[in-house]
Formats: sequence, C-alpha cells, structure tokens
Amino acid sequence: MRKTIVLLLFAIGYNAAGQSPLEVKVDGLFVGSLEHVLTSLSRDYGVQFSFDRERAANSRVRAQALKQPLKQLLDNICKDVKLKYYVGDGGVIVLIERWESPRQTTVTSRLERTYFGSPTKRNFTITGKVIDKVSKETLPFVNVTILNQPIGATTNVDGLFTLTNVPSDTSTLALSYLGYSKQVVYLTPSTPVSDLLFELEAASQSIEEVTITGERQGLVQANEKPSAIKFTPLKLNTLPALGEKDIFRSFQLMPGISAANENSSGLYVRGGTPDQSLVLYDGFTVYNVEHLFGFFSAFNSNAIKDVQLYKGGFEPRFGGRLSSVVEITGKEGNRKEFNAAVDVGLMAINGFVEFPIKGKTSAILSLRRSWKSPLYETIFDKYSGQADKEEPMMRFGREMNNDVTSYFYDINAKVTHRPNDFDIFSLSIYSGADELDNSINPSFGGGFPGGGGGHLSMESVDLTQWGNTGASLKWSREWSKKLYTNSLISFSQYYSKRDRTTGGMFTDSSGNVQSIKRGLIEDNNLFDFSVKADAEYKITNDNKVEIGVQATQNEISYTYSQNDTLTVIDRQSNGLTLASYVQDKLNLIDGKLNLTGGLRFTYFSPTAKLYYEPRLNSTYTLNKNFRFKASVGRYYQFAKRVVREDILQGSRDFWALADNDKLPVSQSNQLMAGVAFETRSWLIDVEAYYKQQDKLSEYSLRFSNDPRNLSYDEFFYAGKGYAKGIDVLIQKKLGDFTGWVGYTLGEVASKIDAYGNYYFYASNDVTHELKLVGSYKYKNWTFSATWIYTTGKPYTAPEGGYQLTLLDGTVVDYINVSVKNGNRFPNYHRLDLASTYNFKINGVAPCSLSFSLFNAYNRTNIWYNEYEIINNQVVEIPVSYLGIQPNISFSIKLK
Amino acid sequence: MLLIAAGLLFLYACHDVGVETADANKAVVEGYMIAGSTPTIKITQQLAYSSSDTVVNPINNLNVEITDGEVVFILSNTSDGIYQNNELQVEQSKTYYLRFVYNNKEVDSQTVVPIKPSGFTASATSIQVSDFTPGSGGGTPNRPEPVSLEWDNPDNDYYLVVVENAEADPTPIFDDDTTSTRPPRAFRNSPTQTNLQQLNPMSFSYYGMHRVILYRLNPEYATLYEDNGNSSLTLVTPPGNISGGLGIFTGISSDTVMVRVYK
Repeated sequence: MRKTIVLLLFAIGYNAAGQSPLEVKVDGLFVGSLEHVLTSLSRDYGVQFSFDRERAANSRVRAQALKQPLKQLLDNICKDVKLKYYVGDGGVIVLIERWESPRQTTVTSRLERTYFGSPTKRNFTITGKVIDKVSKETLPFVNVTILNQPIGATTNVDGLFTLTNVPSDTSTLALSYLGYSKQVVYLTPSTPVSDLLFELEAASQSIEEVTITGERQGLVQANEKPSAIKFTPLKLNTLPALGEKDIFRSFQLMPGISAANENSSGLYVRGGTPDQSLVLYDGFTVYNVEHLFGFFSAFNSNAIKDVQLYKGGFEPRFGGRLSSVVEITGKEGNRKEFNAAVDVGLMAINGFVEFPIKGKTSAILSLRRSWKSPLYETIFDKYSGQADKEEPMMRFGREMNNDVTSYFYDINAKVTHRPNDFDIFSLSIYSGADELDNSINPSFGGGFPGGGGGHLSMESVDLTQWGNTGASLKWSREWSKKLYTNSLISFSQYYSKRDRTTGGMFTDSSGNVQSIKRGLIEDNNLFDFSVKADAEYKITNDNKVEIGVQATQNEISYTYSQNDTLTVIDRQSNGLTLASYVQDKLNLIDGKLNLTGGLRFTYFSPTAKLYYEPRLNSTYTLNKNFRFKASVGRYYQFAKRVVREDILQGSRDFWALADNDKLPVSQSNQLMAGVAFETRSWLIDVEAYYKQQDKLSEYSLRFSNDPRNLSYDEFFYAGKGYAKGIDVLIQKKLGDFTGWVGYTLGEVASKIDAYGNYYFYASNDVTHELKLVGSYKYKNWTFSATWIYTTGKPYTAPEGGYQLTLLDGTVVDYINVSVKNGNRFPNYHRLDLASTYNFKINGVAPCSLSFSLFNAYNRTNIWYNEYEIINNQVVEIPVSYLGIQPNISFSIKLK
Repeated sequence: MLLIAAGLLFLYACHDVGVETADANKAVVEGYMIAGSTPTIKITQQLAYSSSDTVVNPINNLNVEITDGEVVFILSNTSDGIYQNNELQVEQSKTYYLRFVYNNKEVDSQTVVPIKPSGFTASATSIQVSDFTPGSGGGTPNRPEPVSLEWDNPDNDYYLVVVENAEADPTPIFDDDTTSTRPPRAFRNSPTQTNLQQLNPMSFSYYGMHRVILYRLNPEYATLYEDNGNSSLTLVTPPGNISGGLGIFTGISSDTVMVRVYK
C-alpha cells in the first residue's frame, strides 16, 4: 500500500534566498537506496521531498553531482529509477510514478474511521479518477456512491467521475466495480475534493490476501442502470465454458437474453435478433460476432476491460439498432510495467503482452488462434457434416481428403497515449477471421475411360470464410470539470463468403476446353466508415447535457448464385447515415429521481428521409432497498441482416442496407417498467417489456411456384411483429456462494402478409427460459454449475400431402408446408459444470487451471431438422447439438 | 409488491393477438364449378407426415354450403367425402361462395365462373393416323398435318385444351398386346393464355371420335399445372385458393368440338 512521506528537515538554504529548490547546487556521490539518497539530500540542502517510501526503499541509486543544480541530479536519478517529479505546493519536490498525474492525490481506503469531528464543508462536489492498482489502467463505469445515500456517480470511459451533492466532508465514499474488491473511503475535512485518484484491486488477484471489506463480489452486475448488465472479464474463467471463456456466452445466462442457441454466440435480446444488437468495440461497430459457425464469440476476453449490455431503453447517444447495445472497452495495457499472459485450452491458444512506452503511452497486443483439438474437430465435423448432405460427393471428399484447412484467429491491439492530464489518444485495432476449406482437387490425366484423348480436371470447392476488421482512433479531452469531449474516426469491414461448387475443365474430343460449374456461391461484403463526436457538459451538479454527431458511410454488397449462370440475388447498396442527438440527465427530488431524456435525429440517404427517435428512461429510488424504473423510446435500424429462409437446409442470412423499395427501414417502439429490491447481498429484479416492431425483413423462395421464370429480387418480404416478456432475476451477490436464478416469460411473433394473414412465432421465440447459475468458492477453488431449461424453438416443416384430380383426369401430388414456424422442437436443457483452481507460481505469477464439462448429462437437444424429398415422400433427419464435452484450460500471467 | 407484480403482468398480457401454430388436420377441397352442370365437391383430409395413415381419408358430415350471393344451397353428403345439391346449376358470370367449418376452423373460398369460350374452331374434323402395330411391316408412317384449334382471347385469359376419346371401347393406335395396361384415354396440353393451339396427331392413342374440350379457366386453376419445383433444394407452398384449408374451388366454362381419328 502506498504511503507518502514528506521530509521536512532543517529548513535552511534555498528558502532564505527565495530560489527554486531545483536550482540548489548539490555536490557529492549519492549511492544507496533512493530513500537514503533523498533523506540525505533533504538533510544537507534543506529541500523537501514527497515520495513513496516503499518504492524508494527498493530502488537503488548511484549518481554523482559536481556543484550542479539539483534538477540535473534528479533528472539522472529519475531516469534510472523510472520516476518523474514536480515541484508542488510550498516548494515540495514530489516524486511520482511516470504514469501518475502531478495534480492527483491518491486516496487509499482505511478499515476504520479516523476522523470523528464535525463536518466543515457541506453539499460539495468531488472529482477524481479510478484506476487498476496493478496495471494502472483507468477503469470505466465504476460506481462511486455515498454510503447509505441515494447519491452516486459512474466513471466515464476514461475512468473520470464527478460526484455532486456530497452531503458533508465526513461522508463515506464507496467504490464498487465488478471483479474488483469494493473500496470504502472515509472522507475527512482534510481530504482534497478534486483530482482524487482511487486504486482498485482486482478481486481475482487478491487470493491469499485479506479482502479489505470482506465482501466477495460476483461476476455480474445487473442493477446499476435500467435494463443494463455488466460482466467482468476477470472472473469469466470460473464459469463453465465450451473450450474458451466467452463474454457473450456469459451474457446468455442472464434473463432476457436467449440461451437456447448453442450455435450462436450472438445476442438474442428480448425477442431481438443478433443483428438488432449494436456491438461497439472501442467505438467501432462490429457486424459479426461469431467464430466457428457461432459456437464462440469473436471477442477475446483477455483484450477486454469492460463490457456493458443494455437490454433495451438505451440512450439517444446509441442508434441504428432496434434491440440492444453492447459497449466493449478494450484494455489499454499496463501503464507501469511489462506483463504477459498465456491461456491454453482445448479450443485455442490465447495470449497477450502489455507494456508502458516512456511513461505516457501504453500498449497491449493480444492474439488468439484455434488449434485442431478433438473439441474443435467435433464442432467442425458437426457443421460440415450437415453441409455434406447437400452433396453426397462432398462427404466422400471429406473422407478422401484429410487435409482440411480450418481455423479461426483474432488479433486485438491498442495503443493509448496521454500527452498530458487532459488528453487521451487511443488507437484500437481488431481483426478476426474464420477459414474453412474442405475443397478437393483430384485430377484425372490420360483421358476418359474408353474416351478419346481428352483431359479432365474436376474440382470440388467447399470454402467458407468470414471475418471482421475494424479500427478506431479516439481523442478524449477534459476541457474543464464541466466539459468533456470524445472524437472518433473508425473503420469496420465484414465479409462472408461461401463457395460450395463442383466444377472443372475438360478438353473435348475436338480439342476445345469446356468448363462446368454448379453449386452455391454466396458473397457478402460490408464496409463502414464512421466519424463521431460527443460532448458532455455539466450545466449544474444535477443537470448534464450530452450532444453528439455521427456520420457513417456504409457500402454493402451481396450476391447469391446457384451456379455460374444463375444469380439469384445481386444487391449493391451504399448509404450515408447522418445522426445527431441531444440528451439530458437530470437528478430531481434530492437525487432520488433520475431522468435521461433526449432525441436522436437521423438522415438516411437511401430513403432521403429524416427519422426522429425520442427516448426517455428514468429510475426512482424509493429507499435504500427499492428502486423503480421505466423507459420508453423509439428505435430505427438502417443496416440489417436479412434471413434467407431455407426450410430444407436451414436458413442463412446476409447484411443489407435498407432502401425505399424492397427492404424498408425497420422500426420499433418500446416500453419497459420494472422494480428492483436490493439488499447488501441479494438482488431481486423484475422488468416487463413490450416492443412493437415494424418493417422486419425476410427473404424466401417458398412462394416461387415456378423457379424457371421468376425475378428472384421479388422475394423480399416485410412484416410487423411484437415482442413482450417479463425478466426475473434473483441474485445472491456476496459470499462464498454466489449465483442467480434467471427466468424469462416471453413471446415474439411476426406477421408477414405474404405468408398469410396470421401472426407466427418468430424463430427466436422462447416461451419459458430458466437459468440457474451457482458458483462456490472454497479456498483457492471455485466450483460452478449452470443449468438451462428452455421451451423448444419454433420451426417450419413439411406438414403433409394431398392429391387433386385435374380436369383431364390426371392426379397431382402436393406437399404442404406448415404455417411459418408452426412447430416446436422438444424443450432444450443442459447442465454445465466447471471447477477452477487459482494459484501463484513463486508467489507472483497468477495461474488458473480450469476443468469443465459441457452438457454434463449428455442431453440430446435438437438443433434443426433436415428434409429430403424422395418420390414425393418427406424424409426427416434430425440434427442434434453437441453431446457431453469435457474441457481443460490453463492460464498463466506474469504478474 | 403484489400491485407491482400485477402491473407488470398486465403489461405482458395487454397485447394478445393469437399466434398460429401448425395443425396438419386440414380439409382439402376439390371443387370444379363447371357452367351448366351440377358441381361435385370432394372434401378429404390432408395426409399428415406425422401420422401412420397411408390412404386419404374423406371428411363426411360437414355442413357445406354454396351461395351465389342470393340463394344458399346446402350440399348433402352423398357418398364418402362427396357433397352435392342437384338444385344447384352453375351459371356463367356468377360468383359462388363455398363455406363450411372443419376442425373448428372456417374454410371458405370464392370463384367466378367464366363466360363460355367463343369462336372455338378446329382446322379439321378428322385426322388420319397410321397403324403402328409391331410387325405390321416397314415403310415410313405418314405424317399428317396437326389440327389447329383457335378461339377468341382478347383479354389473355387462361385456356386449357383436353382431348378425350368418346368411344365405348376404342381401338388403340399402338396395339401392343404384350402389355396389359392401356394408354390413358385423355391427353392435354398445358394451360395457355394464347388463342390457338395445335393438336399433334402423335398425341392420340386411340382411333374413333374424340371430344376436344376447351376449358376457360381462372388463374387459380392454371397455377395447379405449374411445376411447383419441389425437390430437396426448394420447397414451396402449394397453389390453391381455399382459405383455412387446401385445394381448389374454381369456376370453369367450356366448349367442345369433335375430331375423328381414322386409319
């Protein structure tokens, strides 16, 4: 723990002459600990120093001065021991770490109250910054509250906070951040009120140490803002995982976010689809969040500092999506020292390095790549086995060709530069991709059997590739205590290619080269170039205004061809989205009522229309246990993922930009109301929502009665729908045993006129969804279990057949398809178990060893049915999800 | 707390539209409203893939009614799955409505009976086709000119030509005693929106008098002839105009010319 000491010895010399302490001439050889050297300098020249005694005692110094100014000596010493200094109040020379800011005062928590006098100040404002104790990274969205009072603030994305209406300077501050030990600070009249620096310690790093408050926090926080959830990447490894710890999978354990999607790590939030969730990674939009057919999310939790999920009712500063917002803040890298970590699991190898660069800059680079483990192969075979059914040839090829290339990788890199205390520049880059190549390329020389002298080369291509690349350059500036701005330019690209064709070239008997190709080719490319600027201004302590402008240029193309001559869909769309917003955060009735209201305006060039989105959300804190919340708002979506319905082989989807014609701009009006009851260790949270949706899009060929002469572009259908539900969360937050019960009662239905004049259940409709999550900590072990039980998902199937006798006496057979999504799979349930052992090598390097069992009782859950039509008979082939899968992973960190 | 719970449940329950789910127990209607005749409406049950049944089940004892907008005709269940009312004579240009309740669901449909085709002529009243009896000797069979059929069709309506043998015991053209199955007595071309069609002499299977019937169709019937393309690659909704059920209820009018086929 940092202890600051001020030496005040023999105040002689420079003070009398009125000169700066740095100009004092010093002379001699200074050898020993920094503490010793500073003490002797203070004694001999009457200079006052302030420094961290522990740090100084452990730093060795060797420097010589020949009647030189103290400045030169200090420059040399500080260079050696990697410190910096400044002259503070009263001429005290303050030595601080390079990453520290001169104007900040580090505040440490104390176990007991030390000041028992009367307060001297009332109703004042505290400003400060919260950082990680070890890496010195700033911590976003930390809750700063006055103990037992409904007064609180949250740090912004750069770790800064302003807490207004502090009742008195004897109040108690509580800082809580998910995954970190809670810190309590007793204010005294001598505590500074501005530029305080709080250091929080990660809870997972405090094993073997006494936790300051004795509280052990869980890994999820759900009652900070209405409909918002926060997970800590730090504790993810304690949850059961299928090969890789996964932040998106963990969100799926919360009520309101569907878990019955083993093959999608995307977020189905309150009846929304994954494309209706805005995923922002350091400010840029990520359009695809999946690896390996969706079994894993594309985000490496080692590179993530903070994740916030808004299940609904999000503020006007977010836009372009109907359902939810996931705001991911990447790690900035250790600002103090080099650190590295490696995780090895049954799915991927994952590692990162982080380091400071000259005190003002820090960097982090993380890499993850899958390897061909048995688990990877199991999932790969599961999916590619399904694909094989389309072409029996392929299955043969797969067996013949063991040289299948398949992998995924992702890279996250971020550099953060703080030239001074007011500006932060950060460059964040993400790139991830999946490549699956199952092609075979045999070549037959010497001609056909019994044929002429021709040459045949046949090629069977089976290539699936998708990925994202994104980058953002952000500049944040604190202009004053009242004005804070963020500016960002970003780029994001998504591509998805699928080529399943058989084709080849052959030379016919006349010597002409002929080519043939048939199969399926899909190609989807999306570019997003964005510029954003946001500003927040505190008008009064209880009123903060935020305004912003955003411009996004999208270029999206999609082609779907059934062979090299028949292109079914060919869409190229470009569009500019210009948005601006204004929102106001108001605290009323002594801070009990919080209102955030505002308006978002968007101009979308393909429709040349203006869209208005008014939104309001509020919380009312009745007392320290009860809180009511409500939100209402309108949402539009301009870039959307369209489902291409395929009853027989499973639907696929593609990104497209809305237009005035076939793909209208989607729209949703939403209402939410809820109540939370919270004690120190328990939270009961209930929220009910209703969402009305319009202009949802689908693509289907099911009404194309004559495939030979039709315009495939005609088969885009738009419809309306609604989603409603109740989310219930009962959480035990503290103690050795933590966990929660999440339950959702929901209904999602749509009506697309082309399908008929009726409402049908949306593909992601799940009536009941129950999740039990428990985690028990025993010494250095953590044991956890999750159990998921959900109603089966709806699906469309061939329903039956009939015959009609036509006028000429011929009898025709017809196959009839059920109403859209009129059937349900059996209920889904699954138990996952995990245990994690935390230890340190040599007392410094934290390690964890995790064992997990996915689908512990080997339940056969149906994924989808495949149908084959043979002689007008329908043959159903159920395809199930994964069975029992054991996994082991190990991770080690330098510090 | 209870009040809050009630309020939230109210919010959940406030919008209830009734969502459709699959029900394979559907009625299949086959009803041709041919001008000048008494219709026969056939109602059967869809054969569900989930059931073990392999034969089509007729649906009996339904209250089937057809109205022309003025008179309501109640159809009686004359035999398995067959409904008729002899008082109902289909008239051209009239709109007929079919309605019954099956499986607690209203099944209905409507159709307009087209006006009888006009100007229907054939280019020949007889046609000579050579004998193809195996072993009857060599030589090239004669290739007679096709019979051209023409009618008026200013509005590009749908027409269907069906040719059927009118003899009681016709003689086949291709007399092959080795097989016991005989060729069908009727043949057709695909529905067309033109005003002419040719009858290829090779299409005839029998000698004797043939009825060449020109049906004037509604589009709903014409779609039944389209290849629905169902295969393992696509699955499409079958054509039909029955709301709440499957099949067809369609008005038809016709005109007939006779053509004789001789050796």
